[in-house]
Amino acid sequence: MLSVRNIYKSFAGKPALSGVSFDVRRGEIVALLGPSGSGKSTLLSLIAGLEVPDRGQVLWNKKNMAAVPAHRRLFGLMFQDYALFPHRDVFGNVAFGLHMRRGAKSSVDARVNEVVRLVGLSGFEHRDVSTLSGGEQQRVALARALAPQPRLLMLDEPLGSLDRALRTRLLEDLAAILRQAGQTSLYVTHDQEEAYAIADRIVLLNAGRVAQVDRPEELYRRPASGFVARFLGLENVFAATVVRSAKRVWLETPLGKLPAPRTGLKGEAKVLLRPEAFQLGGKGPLKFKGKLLSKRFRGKMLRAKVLVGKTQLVIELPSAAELPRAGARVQLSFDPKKAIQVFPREE
Amino acid sequence: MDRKRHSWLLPALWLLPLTFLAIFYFYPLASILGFSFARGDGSLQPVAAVLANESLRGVVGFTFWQAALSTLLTLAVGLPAAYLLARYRFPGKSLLRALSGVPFVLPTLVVAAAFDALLGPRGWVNQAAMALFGLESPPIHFVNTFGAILIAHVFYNTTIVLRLVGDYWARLSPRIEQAARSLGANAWQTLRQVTLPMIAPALSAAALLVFIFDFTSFGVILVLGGPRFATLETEIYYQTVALFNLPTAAVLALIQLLCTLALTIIYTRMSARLSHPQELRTPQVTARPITSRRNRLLAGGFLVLLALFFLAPLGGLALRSVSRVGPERGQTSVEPGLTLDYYRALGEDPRGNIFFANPQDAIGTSLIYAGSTVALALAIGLPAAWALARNERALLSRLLDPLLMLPLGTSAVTLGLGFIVALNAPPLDLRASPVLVPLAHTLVALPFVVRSLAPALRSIRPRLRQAAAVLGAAPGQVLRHIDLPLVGRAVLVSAMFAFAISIGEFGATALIARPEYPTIPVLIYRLLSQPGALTYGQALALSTILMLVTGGGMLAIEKLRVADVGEF
Repeated sequence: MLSVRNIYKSFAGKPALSGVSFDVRRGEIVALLGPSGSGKSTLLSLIAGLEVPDRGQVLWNKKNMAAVPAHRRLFGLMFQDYALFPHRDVFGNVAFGLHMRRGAKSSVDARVNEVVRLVGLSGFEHRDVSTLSGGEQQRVALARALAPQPRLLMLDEPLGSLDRALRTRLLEDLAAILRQAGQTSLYVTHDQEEAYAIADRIVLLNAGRVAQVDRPEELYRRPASGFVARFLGLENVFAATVVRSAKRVWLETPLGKLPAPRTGLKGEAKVLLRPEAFQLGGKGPLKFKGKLLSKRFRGKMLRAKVLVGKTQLVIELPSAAELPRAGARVQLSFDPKKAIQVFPREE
Repeated sequence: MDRKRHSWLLPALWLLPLTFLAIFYFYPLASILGFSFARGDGSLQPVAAVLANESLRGVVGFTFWQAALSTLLTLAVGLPAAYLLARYRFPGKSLLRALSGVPFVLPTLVVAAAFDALLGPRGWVNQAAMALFGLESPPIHFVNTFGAILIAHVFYNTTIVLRLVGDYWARLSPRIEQAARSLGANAWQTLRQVTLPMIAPALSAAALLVFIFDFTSFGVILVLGGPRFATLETEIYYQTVALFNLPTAAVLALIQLLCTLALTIIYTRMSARLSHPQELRTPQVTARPITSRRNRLLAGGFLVLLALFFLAPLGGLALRSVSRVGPERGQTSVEPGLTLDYYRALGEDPRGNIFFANPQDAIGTSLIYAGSTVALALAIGLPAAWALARNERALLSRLLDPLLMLPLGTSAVTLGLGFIVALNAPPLDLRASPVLVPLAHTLVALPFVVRSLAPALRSIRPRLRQAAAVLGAAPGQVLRHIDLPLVGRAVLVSAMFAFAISIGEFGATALIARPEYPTIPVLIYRLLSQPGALTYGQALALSTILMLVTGGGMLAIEKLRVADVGEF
């Protein structure tokens, strides 16, 4: 089991990671999710042993890895740009890690064949890597990382540079391959859809700190902060004040007074109005009048922007919903129990 | 790798190169300069005297002028050829590369003889012209002209441009240029904005080496230029050997040294800014056949001219070594025609000279010296190049980089004398030792080795080393399986340079080689300095053998395809 304990790292005085802690359990796929510049790749380098943390520890089965150099950690790392060895063919690349661990020739051949088949590249063994397409290179990089059976496999934005259709297909393949191999994995991405699709749990990083660690559905349902909500595409995050009187608790928001969910917070806070909890028309307990600014068809749903007072709201409706032209007046309603979440004010 | 954890690595890498330079370069140099100044009155008066002397100032000016012009001409010939070699496949490619390397390894005396055999008053061209047009005197005056110096320099140094620039260029992805074209850049803009900046590290390295070579050129100026032309190097020789004016020679050597140092510092500043890690491709992928008839004609014509330029003097030399042209002493006339007499005579010693050396032995001696030089130069040059490539911004590397280039700019005569003066007392009594010659050759070869290795090492993406480490490769294995194969070609090129420099080096070797163990160039010089058509023919015969040996070696290196190395 991998444990990252209170890691700090700065470059030229600028903090890249500040007190990062999380675990990856055996056989688990954990996604390290965050916007670019949040420290994901740095964290991978530290875990792999390519960089040394300023403070904090990387533990494997409770053993501190600080004194273990990269090549003895038995952690695999698949690079974003694949970093295939240009002077070796597909076989040579995949066999590299096995040769480094002094595998016998017959067992190396067998293992290379096995992983090459696993990633669907049988017959490509003696191709020059520079003649491969992006998707094929990605598979070679994966096979190379998988071949030595690393106790932890780290993947750094492995689908980053591929086209969308290829990404979707390879993501499914990748998830299947990792699950089938029971491979303990740490998957770095900036794309929440990718993280949802592949991960058992998600570690969300923001500016070098852990913003939330949770299962994908929990993360989506109960974001821990305004940042998390926004990052996941839940855009209606506003400043609010929690006001408590003797009998009741309510929120002062840019949309006016709203009922507060159960919260221990008081005073300044952030409020999230979940986009999918809105309805068109007047059936819900709370109603707003606004102007429809824009609408966009998103396949499964319609996403629209509505100006209520001076506040812009994002709403998501079933795609069957009939929206008037942009510029028209619309009435919205929503169920406060489903729609409102409150977070502490962010510093 | 982490800098903190490996802070010992950089000094450790520098240890061997620095120790070597300290003992075998700075110590002898300081000794000879100290010795020379001590022979004066110990004041700085010789410096003032040299600076006040107008003709010596003219020597400095001419040295720069001829070197600059020669470098420009060499680039003008070498760059188009490097481009063609890098980007296209055509028949005879490796032959042309090998051919271009042959002049580089020939002793200056041989090259002078070769041009003389082709363009001299009794050379093939003049003889043919005289016979054809019935002329009384040779129509072409080549020997002892400024043009002869320039052409010989181009003849010598084009291979540096071909190898340093061509090899680097061959491994740059043509995609980047295609991207520029797709963004609307025309061919000229692409060249200016994209290609030139990309090849700049190799280009500036090549230009600097060519310039320094021309700047310190000795034999070409002395033999082909004649007494009308004096550069710093020939003036040092003249002042030392003819006038025995050691203080003046020392001042001139110092001026030459400072000029080289300044050039080198400018260059290291430039290259630190110019070099970006680039994704290197296999040449097989980047090279394509020449399309369109017009291009094929243009490129073909250029390549044929280039091949002729290399072949004609060499062919003239070889032909001359098997031709009877003039009468031997004691004979009144001679039947012109082909003969192997000169080759047969190589093994004979008609005069019973005590210093007679069998040419076979000289070839053996030269090969042993060259082999030792290759081993030494790689053993010392690899760590230095690696240190430069790993962290060229480190203070240590920035300070030491120019030092490595200094031996190139040092007069071979000064260096040879320095060896004799400094290394003749215990614990370094090497005067009688055969290691002296490979040590001197290594000094001259080291800058080449480092200059061809460092750019290649620098352009390996750090990611590849990390990827190897994560796959379980220990630092030594990373070096063996990633760095070395990826720079394998550069290692071969630098080994070739070291070999060639050792085989052809004459100035320092003439001073320090044991008389009973001459190298091939020393023996050729001995033969040339004896009168008579037979010894002249023997000298040409031996030169031809040297040419064939080195040319064959060069071709073997071109064809060498060791599994790991040959793949790119």
